[in-house]
Order: sequence, then structure tokens, then C-alpha cells
Amino acid sequence: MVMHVDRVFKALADPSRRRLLDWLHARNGQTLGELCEDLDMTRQAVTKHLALLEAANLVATVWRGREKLHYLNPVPIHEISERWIGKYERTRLAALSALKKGLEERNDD
Amino acid sequence: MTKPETVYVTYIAAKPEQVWQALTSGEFTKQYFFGRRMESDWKVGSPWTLWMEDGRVDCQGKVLESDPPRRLSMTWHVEWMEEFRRLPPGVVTFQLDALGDVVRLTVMESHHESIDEKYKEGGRRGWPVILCGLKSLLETGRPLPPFDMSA
Repeated sequence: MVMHVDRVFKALADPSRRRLLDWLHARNGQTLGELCEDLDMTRQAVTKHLALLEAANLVATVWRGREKLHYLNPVPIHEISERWIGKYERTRLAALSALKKGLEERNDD
Repeated sequence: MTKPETVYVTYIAAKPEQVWQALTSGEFTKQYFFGRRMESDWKVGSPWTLWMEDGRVDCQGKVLESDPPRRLSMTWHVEWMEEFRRLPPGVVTFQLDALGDVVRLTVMESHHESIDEKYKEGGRRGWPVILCGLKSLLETGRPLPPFDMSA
């Protein structure tokens, strides 16, 4: 899991790769050829970035005949947000419970 | 195959049979699919229904392909909101690939007839939540805690 999260952050830490994701967000299910045409990047660079995004599961691919289609996969981003949303909630609940306890003790005085 | 409009992938540390059961049994789906129960005999041509907790039908359709525990494809029609009932059904396909101790679960959604983008928003917001909940349930035995989807 830790390794997987590292891969997601590493993949997102590059502006070209974020631009690729933005582009798939705007038009999902593109081939390598389509992506190269629209983005001002060499085929080699796009291939390299897509491989990293795919390894991080941020891009999912589906074969349709001989075409490999690329899709933005938001699931790992949701998994990451879930991890910290849960933690913040627990902290907030712990703080509320401490406050309640403190107030109730004062009432007892 | 119609070109899918959206594809979601999650890797789950479980057996394909467990993932299949979690997708097809109401006892499991109610724990991660916003409380909804999925019901069908999962034979090709059979109807399936996704029930809301209050007994209303959320979605329904017909089974197009059923190859346990590898592939399940179905027509998908949203029933619970008036404006969705007029729409042509979409197709949702679950593909399960066993990779050692892990299952790669791919969810593909396609539409034979194009529908307005606004109707796809629910699926775009919903599937990542559902898949994270399913993964959490199978790997830890606990679904994710509930939270506000509109936030």
C-alpha cells in the first residue's frame, strides 16, 4: 500500500503527466496517437509518461481491436483522500470528546 | 464492443470468487453500495435489480454476459429519478483478472445511444466511492465510513 501511494504521488508530481490526465479528463478513452497529436510532446515522452501513470493506476487501458484506449482512473486519488479524511474525522471526534469530558467535569465541581 | 466512456480499475487483495460474490450478492452490496442490495440469479437474459433500503428500485436491467468469476455484463437503467427513466439503458461490465494474490477489477460503462453529459455525473462520482468501499470491505472486513457525497 505504501509503495502504491508513493507511485501515485510520484506520477502526479510532474506537470506534463498532470496535463495528460487533464486531457483524458476532458476526453476520455484516447489512443496514444490521439494524445500525441493534441499535446505538444514527442511520442516517446507521452509513452514514458503514460507508462508511469498506468503503473500508478491513474490511467486504465482497454483494448478495442488493435487500439489501446487510455482512461483517467480516479480510484487511487479517492483512496488517498479517504485515508486522510478518515484521520481528520477521528481527530475531530477525539477533540470533541475531550471538550465534552472537560466541560462535564467542570459542571461537576 | 462499444467504446467504453469510462473505465475504473482497482486492485483488491482477494480471490476472484470473493470479488464476484461481493459484486453479485445483496448481503455484500448493501455494505458498500450506498446501502443498496443487488439481486439476480445472474443467468444470461435474467433481470437484475438494485434495491434501495426503503424498497424502491434504484437501477435495473438485464444480464448480457455472465462468466463467474471473470466477467459480468449487464444493461443498466436508472429508475429512481423521473428524468432518468426516459433515457436509453447503458451497459456496465465488470472484468475480474486474477494476478497472483490480487484481483484487478475493471468496471467499464458504455452507452450505445449518446446521452447528455449531465446524466453521467452520478456514475463519475459514485463508482470511485463504490470501488473503494468494496476494496476496503474485502481487505479489512469493514466498509468505508459513510460521508457526504456532495462535499
